Order: sequence, then structure tokens, then C-alpha cells
Amino acid sequence: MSTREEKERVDLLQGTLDLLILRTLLLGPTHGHAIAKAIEFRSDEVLQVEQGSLYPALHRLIKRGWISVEEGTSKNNRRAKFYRLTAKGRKQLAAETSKWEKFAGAIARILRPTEERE
Amino acid sequence: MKQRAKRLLNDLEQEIREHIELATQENMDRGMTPEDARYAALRKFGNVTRVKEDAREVWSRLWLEQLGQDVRFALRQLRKSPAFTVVVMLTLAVGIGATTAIFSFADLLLDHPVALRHLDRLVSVDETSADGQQALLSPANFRDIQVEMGSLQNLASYQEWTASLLSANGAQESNGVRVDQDFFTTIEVEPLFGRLFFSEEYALSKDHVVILGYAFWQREFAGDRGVIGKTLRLDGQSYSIVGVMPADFQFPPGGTQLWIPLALDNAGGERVHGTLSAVGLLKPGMSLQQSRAELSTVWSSLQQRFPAANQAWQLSVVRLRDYLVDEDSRQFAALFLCVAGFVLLIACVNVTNLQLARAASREREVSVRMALGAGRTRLVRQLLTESVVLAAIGGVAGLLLAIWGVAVMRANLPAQVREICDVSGMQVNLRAFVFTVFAATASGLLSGTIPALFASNLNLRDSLEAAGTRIVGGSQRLRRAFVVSEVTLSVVLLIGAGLMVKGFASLANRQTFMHPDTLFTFHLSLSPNHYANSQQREIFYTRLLERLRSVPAVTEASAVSGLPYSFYENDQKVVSDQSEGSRLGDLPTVMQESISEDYFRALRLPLREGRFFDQRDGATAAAVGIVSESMARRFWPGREALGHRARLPESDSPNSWITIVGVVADVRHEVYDRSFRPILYRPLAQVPAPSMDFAIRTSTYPSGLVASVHSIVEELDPAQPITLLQTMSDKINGQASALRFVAVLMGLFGIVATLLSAAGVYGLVAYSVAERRREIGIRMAIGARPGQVLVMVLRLALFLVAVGGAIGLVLGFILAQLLASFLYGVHAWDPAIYAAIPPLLLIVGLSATLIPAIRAARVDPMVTLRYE
Repeated sequence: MSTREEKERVDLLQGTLDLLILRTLLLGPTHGHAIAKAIEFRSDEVLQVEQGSLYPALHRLIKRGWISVEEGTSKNNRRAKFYRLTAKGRKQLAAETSKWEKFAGAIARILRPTEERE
Repeated sequence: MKQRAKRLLNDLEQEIREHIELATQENMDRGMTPEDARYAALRKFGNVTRVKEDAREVWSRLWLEQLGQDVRFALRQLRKSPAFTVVVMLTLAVGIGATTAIFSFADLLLDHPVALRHLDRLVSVDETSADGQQALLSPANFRDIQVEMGSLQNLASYQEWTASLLSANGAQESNGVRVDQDFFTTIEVEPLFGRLFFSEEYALSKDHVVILGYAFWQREFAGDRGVIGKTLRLDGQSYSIVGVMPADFQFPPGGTQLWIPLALDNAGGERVHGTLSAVGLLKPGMSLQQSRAELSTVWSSLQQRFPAANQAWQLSVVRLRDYLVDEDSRQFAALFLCVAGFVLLIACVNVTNLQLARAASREREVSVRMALGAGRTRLVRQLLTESVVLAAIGGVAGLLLAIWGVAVMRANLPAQVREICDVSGMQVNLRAFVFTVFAATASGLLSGTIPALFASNLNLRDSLEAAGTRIVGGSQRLRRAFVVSEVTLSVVLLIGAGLMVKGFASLANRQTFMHPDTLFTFHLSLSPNHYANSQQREIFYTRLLERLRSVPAVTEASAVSGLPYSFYENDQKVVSDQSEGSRLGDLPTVMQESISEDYFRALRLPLREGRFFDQRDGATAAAVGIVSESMARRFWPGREALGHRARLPESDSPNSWITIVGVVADVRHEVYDRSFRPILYRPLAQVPAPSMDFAIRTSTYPSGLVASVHSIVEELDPAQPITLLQTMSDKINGQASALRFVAVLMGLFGIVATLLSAAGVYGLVAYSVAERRREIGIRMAIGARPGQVLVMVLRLALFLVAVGGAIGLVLGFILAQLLASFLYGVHAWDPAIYAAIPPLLLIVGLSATLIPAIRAARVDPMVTLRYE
């Protein structure tokens, strides 16, 4: 039983993580560590991503054709892989974002009255 | 795509290292010590191995990879228990192989005895009497049906025919068939090369053209394509070769190698005497029933128009394949299917049982693996893979066995089968193979996964502690029931096999009074072109017999219209002086035989009363006959037959009465006769048949006899072929070959079934000993002697065998009564067979149990206790 719960939580995170990565890459191509940092920074460090899980997620996005990868040089002159949002990924981001907003809005509407009563 | 994935994954490690270094650097910039910074970065990153695996999983088709793992794991597991693996594989191989081979044979016999394109739509049409006797169609009836039929697209007639062929190898007989204009279009066949007959060649003056069979062409012309236009001498006449048939064309089956046109011009008006076989092609979409209904109205009108010829007959329309393969052969095929089904069932039970036993002994392993975190589906899949791997190996072995079995059968099928179907068309039936593989493995597959299914519901700790006693206790009863049922099934098969084998053996030994080893026989058909009248025939036979008698070592030379064991039929209704005035239908049927004077002496048939034929009984002398004892009893019960008279009903002139001058002992005429036929013997001089069998008794076994016979016949008539030169023993064995085939096959299946159940007993005992090691160890530790342990194990096995044997004997006895119509020369209740079963079972049971029992008796109590 416990394995199933864990799995569900990972699933939830996975979907969200994909969205966050796409959103981050909208600002321009960058490398793995930078993406992780950007997500943390932009969420005011609320979202603590287990940074390792970023990489399988990146691979997944590459496989779906939403991002591409290229060789590049990082700020301190090191060879690194740069991830770039593709046109397909851009469309996906738009779709996912509106979906997410609807979802978050719905959740928020459900949660609000309870707060007011208290 | 794949290339990119590989590069990404290869670079991933480097990428992760960079990531962690960057994070460490940042942490250090925030003022951490290098050690803390690195540690914090690592913690934040998470499990590196897991990340790499997850990334790989994104790209790999995971299940395929896991399948590979499972298969490798399964093979490893199977290698670890070789006895189990080998027994299951052999069981599967034998079960699948034997059943598939038999299915293929039955399929040939029941489904496609000949390779014709529209076999499903082909029907045979003939006339049948009220008592089920089949007869050929008369030409006039055939014409009328052909004109009026609406349900058949085509209807063609043919006539089987034997030709004597004069070639470089001397005179020989060849099977041929005369076919009408519609024949080749009805069965839809094209020659390999050359042409079919032109329509004008179906006329009396132009019909000397012939199409050759492939085998004949190969044999006589060595496959020379220039054969078209050459001449063939058949029955002393020249036929021009116009075509050669493809190798797989064999119709009518039974060695037809020559096709010539059937010209009906002069016999077209004949309505009473049937001379034609007919084959029709149903219109597409027309069912057999519809066609029967339609043709029966056609026949009714023919009966009304020609009552004298047709009133006593019905038109019978049957599928061609059912017409070719007689009822007896179909029943034997059905019997084989039953037997094969039994063997398959035993194989299923065996595999299931072994899987169950193994499953029980693996419960602990499964529990451990679940405790270590293996998912239930993953475990089920793994065990399933193991079963599938076993099934695949067994299936491949089974297929090889089936291919071999079919080849062996093809080469050894009895002559009777070769006559009714085209054996060369027999192949491994893939449908049957798939079915048997499925049947043999399905139950095993399921039972193989039982431990995983059960284990998921088990409390892990319980099962780890008790090594899974719960399931073991439950399934052991099931496993014992399985072993009992296996033994039961094999006893039933053994009884059937025993009866068949004993019946065959007794048949082969039955005619010892005849001394068949020193009785030489051959067959001779006089061509009607050369020997048109009975006088010419009689002169030829008399001269031939005289010459044969002069050969050294020949003591008697005789002729008969049909020797025993030659499938001879000549049934006649006979009126006696007692039954005069009876209706034709009520008259008894007897077999009429023409014989030369020495016939009874040559065959060693004793005279009961009266005298043999001699010089007095010439062609012009008073008609005389000798009757067999059965005929004497039948016609003149309780009275002397001598001096009484009988005659054929058609000829009622005063001098057609035959006076009985002797009574001879009965002789079993054909292997398959269940009773003696009543026989009326007539002197050869008075009834010289156009074809005769010759029986020559010799004092020793002369080596030159065959050559002498050939040269004597050649001197008398160089164009006269002789056939079937063989001893009476060969004749009997030849006719019994179908029974021998059945007996051998049944015997084989009996042995296979017994071995399979022995394997079942062995498996059960071996596993139960393995499971009870600890118990046995404790028993021995507190004083049980090895002998006692041995007896304990043997007692369990022999008890199961005894129960299965007892049920099997009862069931076998009941089933044997149903088998009665398949049995010749033995009764279904033959006590010797039933008496032989218990000792046989004891031996089988003991040998299957001895090894595990001894192993049990050798259990070292200290080792077992420590091990557990």
C-alpha cells in the first residue's frame, strides 16, 4: 500500500515539474543546474525540487519534442548541455498553463468559503 | 532517435557531476566548508543511481528489457532444477508431438483424403439399395440426372480400369481410369504439361489417347518431357500420350496413373446395370442437403418412368471425402483422436501437477522476494515467463517430434489407407499443433503462477516462518488426485492397447492349418480382348496349371476366383430346393467361388462329406457344387446337404440346378470377417472367371519359384501380366497391416501414457520427499530406521497407483465394451489383458518411486535439522 501512495505523489510532482521546466526555459536556453536554481528562486524557495529528478524530466521532454538540447559553454567557461524550448514546447506550455490556472482557480474557489467561515 | 538517447544517457553522468560541482561551489560561496558544501549539494540532488535509472527508463521500452531479464532468469531457474525441467519438457514434447501427429493423420483421413481444389463442394453420387448396399450408376440414369440436375454445377462420370502394360520390364498391370468429358472440369485440374482430352476424343474411334500420372511418367520415361506424342501399349492397343499430371494429383486415390477418355456411345442406353462412378461439383452456396433434396425429386421421377430398373434403388449423394473414406476408417480415425486426447490429457495433468509441486516448494522463495520488495505483478510475470519458456521449449521439441511422427506414419501407413487417400498430402497440421500447444501448456502456465498469486495474500512473516505449509497442505490432495487420474487414464489406454495387440497377434497366427509360408499365390486377369469366351479362358487356366505342377517342389497347383485374404467379393443370392418360391429379397446371400480340382488340397481345407471336384465335372457335365459348412447349415439345417440342389435366382431353366456333391470345412475369408462366410464352390471348368488367383503348394521354400512362374506365364502369353506374387503369409499380413498399424500405434500410446504417469508419480513423490525432509529428519532423529522411511514413502506412492489402477480397470472394462467394433480376434473381456495390469503397475510404481524413496531413507537427520 505504501508504495502506491508514494507513486501517486511522484506522479503529481512529475507533471508539475514538467510545467515548471518549460516555463523556466521560456526565458531562454540554459543548463540543468540553472533550471533547478531558477525554479527555486522564482518560487521564493517554496518549491523544493529534488534536483536529480530534473534530469529524467528533461529527457522525457526531449523525447516528446518539447525541448531540444545543444552543446554550449556555461558562464565559467565549462562545457555544458543547454536546453531550449521548441515551438511545440511553447504551444504545450500555453496549453498546460491555462489548464493549470483553471485547476488552481477551481481548487482556490473550493477552498475559499471554508476559510471565510472560520 | 536511439543514437540521441544513447548520447544523452552517456553524457548524463558528466552532467550530474557538473551539476553537483556547481551546487557545491555555490554552497561554498555562501560560506560553508568544502565538506559540508559537497554533502548539502549531494543531499539536494538525491539518489544519483536512481536518477540515472529513471532517465534510462524514459528512453527504453522497459517491458521488453524486463522480459529479457525474466527469460534469462527463467532459464537460470530451470537449469537449477534439471529433473523437473527435463520431465516437464519431455512430457510437453511427447504430449504435443504425439497428439499433433495423430491429429494430422485424422485430418488427412477425415478432412482432405485427396488434394482437390474444391473438395468441400465435391460430392459423390451413386445408387444404394434398401439394405445399404452401394452400386454404381447406370449410364442412362447418369445421363438423365446430368440433364435435370439444378444443384450441381457439374457432374462427371468415371470408370476404374486395370490395364496390362507391355514395356521393357515385361508385362505389368497399371491402375487407370476412364473419364468422361466433364471429369477434369468438375475436379478442376490442369496437366503439368501437355493437354487434356479434346471433346472429339470422347468417341469410340478416337479415344486412344492417354494422360500419364507423374509417378508413372517418372518411372517409365525417367521424367522425359519429350514424352508427348509417344505411344503406350495398353491391353495390346496403342495409346498416344497427350499430357502428364502434376505430382500431387491422385484421383481416384489408390494409385491411379493412367487417364483415358470414357466413350459412352454404345453403352449409353443401359439403365439396369451400373457401370459408372460419379463425382459432382455443388454450385457455390448450395448445401449438401439442398442438393440431396433436389436430386431426390429427380430420382423419384426416374423411378416412376423406369420402375423395373430403379424401383429397388435410392440415389445417394454424399460428400466425396466421406465416400472415399469408408465408415470403418473414419471410426478408426475417431478412435485415434480419442486416444490422442487421452495422452494429451495425461500430459496436461502431468505438467500441471509438476508445476503445482514445484510451486509449493517455491513458496518460501517467493515470500523472501516479496519481503525484499518485489511487486506482485512483477513476480507473477516472472513465474509466467518461466512457464512460457518451458512451454516454448516443449512446443519446439513437440513440433520436431510431430514432424518426425508424420514422416514415419507417411512411410508406414497400411495399404488400405493408401488406397482411400493420397498419403503424400499428409503434413503436420498447424492448427492441431497450435491447439495442442495451447491445451498442453495453458493449465501448466496457470499453475506455475500460483505461488505468486497466493503469496500476495499471505502474511509474509507467517510464510517465512512456516515455509508455506498452508498452500502445500491444500494442494497436496489435489496433486494426489491428479496422479490417481493419470494412472487411471493410462490403465484405460493400456487395456485398449493390450486388446488391440493381442487381437492382431492372434489373427496373424490363426491360419496355421493352412501353412501359409509354403503357399505361393499370384493373381492374373485375362484381357477381354484376347480371351473373349469362357472356353478360351478355361483352356488357358488348364494349361497354366499343368505347367505349374511340373515345376520341381510344387506338390499342388490350383486356381480360385478369389483366395482368402484378397478382399474378394462375389455375393450372390441363391435359391435352394427348400426355399423355392421365396421372394428375391428374402433369399440368403452366399459367396460364389470358381475353383480348380486341387484347390482344397492345396489350401489343406478338409472335406467333411461327399467328394472333391474331379475329371467328371467338365464344362458340359451336370452342374455340381461344393458348399462350406456354414452354407450347409444355413440352407439345409439339420439335414445332409449332399444331393440337395441350389441355383442362382436369375437363371431358372431346369438344367441350371446345381447338385451339391461335397461339404468342406469353413475358412475365414478376410481378416475383418467376424464370422465364416457361407461359400458355394463351383468347378472352374463350369464357371471360368475372367480373373483368377493361383495357389501353389510347395514342399520346400524354393528360391527359383518366382522366376519359374514368370517364365511359364510368359511362354503361354507374353502380353499377360501377373500381379501380387507372394506367399499366403504375406497376403495375410498385408491385409492385417491396418490392424497392425492400429495395434502398434495403440501400443505406443499405451507405453507413452504409462511413462507419463510414471513421471507423474515420480514428480509427486520426489517433491513430497523434498518438502518433508525436515519431518523425515526428525523421525530419524527420534529413532526411525531408513527401512521404515523407505516403506513409508513407497506406501504412499503405491497406494495412489493402486487406487488409480483399480478405477482404471473398471473404467477400462466399460470402455472396452464400446471398443468391441474395433476388435478382431479377441474379446473385449479377455481376462489375460486385465490380469496383466496390476503386476505392470506395481513394476512401474516401484521404479518411479524407488529413487526418491531411497533419497528419503538416506536423509541425514543432523543436516536436515541444521539446514532448517
